[in-house]
Amino acid sequence: MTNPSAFLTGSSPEVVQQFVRGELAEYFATSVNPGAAERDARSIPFTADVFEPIARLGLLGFLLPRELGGGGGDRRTFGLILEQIGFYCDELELASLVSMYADLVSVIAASGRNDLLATYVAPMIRGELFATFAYTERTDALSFTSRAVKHGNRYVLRGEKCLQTGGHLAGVFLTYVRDEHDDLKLFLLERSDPGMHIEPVATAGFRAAGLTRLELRDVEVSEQRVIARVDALSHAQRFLNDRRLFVACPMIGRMQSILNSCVTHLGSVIRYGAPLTQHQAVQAKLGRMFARTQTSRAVLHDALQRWTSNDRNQLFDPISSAAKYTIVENAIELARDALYLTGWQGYSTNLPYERMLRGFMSGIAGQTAQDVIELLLGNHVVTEVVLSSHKKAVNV
Amino acid sequence: MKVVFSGTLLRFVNYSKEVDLEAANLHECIGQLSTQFPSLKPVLLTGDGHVRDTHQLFLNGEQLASQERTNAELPLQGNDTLLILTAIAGG
Repeated sequence: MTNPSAFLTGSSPEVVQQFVRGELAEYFATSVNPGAAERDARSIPFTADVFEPIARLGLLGFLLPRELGGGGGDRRTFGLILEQIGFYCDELELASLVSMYADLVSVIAASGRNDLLATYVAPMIRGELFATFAYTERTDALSFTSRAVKHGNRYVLRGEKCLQTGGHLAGVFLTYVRDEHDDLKLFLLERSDPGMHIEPVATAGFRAAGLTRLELRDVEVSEQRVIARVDALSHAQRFLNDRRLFVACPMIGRMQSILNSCVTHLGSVIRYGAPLTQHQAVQAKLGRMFARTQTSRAVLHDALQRWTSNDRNQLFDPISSAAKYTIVENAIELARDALYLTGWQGYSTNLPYERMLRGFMSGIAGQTAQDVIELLLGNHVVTEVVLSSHKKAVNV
Repeated sequence: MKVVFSGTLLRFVNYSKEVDLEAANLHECIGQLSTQFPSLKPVLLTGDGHVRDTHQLFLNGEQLASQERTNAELPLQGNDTLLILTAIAGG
């Protein structure tokens, strides 16, 4: 297993692009992308073998400290890698799953328990075991209804977690459940634990990600399976805060890919005696798509850079949250523009734009819904002004 | 002193955006809030009585550092304003 973080950390986006192009572009083009349309049409999630070359490259352990067997890479560089995977791989789902696997390795390792390192972390880095996190319920986090009741030195868990990404492959479910004292705890549950009931969830897009619903039917586990005993609500918020931007990274790559293929396609279509790319109205729309791509990339890279300087709020970072929000909105608009430009071909499966649009729309709901981000950002703005005015009043 | 709530926490304090109380220190302040709004207690505090990390505390416009927010004896005065900011995101 190589350690790309050793030479990529601190590198420019161009160097990261060269790395992904050299190591993965051909693999995606020959072994992954040809199956994208069928996976979407038949709602077939990725199989485990898809991740083997990515694991061999060291990407699943990229974020884990070296002393724990990982690559010791930084989140900025990893975000840039995800952007490039998004460019070369036709399915957003792949980069999303890779980032989740890499993050969950770190969550388990952060428990500091050697038994978990050997049993779970090591095979997860090798791509032999996959994990997902089970947080979302059909209500807000302060009203979660799933319950863990303690009996002696064991817990019995009951409830429902309505959506997990990658649950189809997951052998491990990191599951947030309230205890008898209304405190959220984080449990490590195994797929084979008696009482675990997992079923696929049908979606409009993002179908290769293998979304699932988890029902806990009196799942009984030992105390050893609790990996965050106190205030796992804050634990979850830090985790979600860190992951929010990763969802947006591959979208930039996809946007660039759509723009490139759109220009190529339009250049081959003759209307009124000239290729469509020579029509001013078409060029104007392509210019709008270019602007959306470039501004999204600038927003992403700025937010990623803040990670290296630690200039961010650990619980709800408004800058990276605003970046995710902006990139998702721009990506959806860009895919819509591609559909407008390519007419029936874009709407058919001849071109992948309608599938891309459905993929981008996963960002409306994923990793904190867009409307919730709007609300939280608005609350942040109001609070900033209140705090600012209070400071002025104190200083007068 | 005045305690200011916003967003998610409002429903646990009967949608009172500001609560006036008298407290000599942070421990007393949190204790009075828990008594006045029983449903707020498990949301605001961990089992061992500390304010959950997910709630950010601002005293007179300045964010309290971790050692300050866990200091039960942190002194408070009559004209102080404690703002509790909670941003809870989904998965």
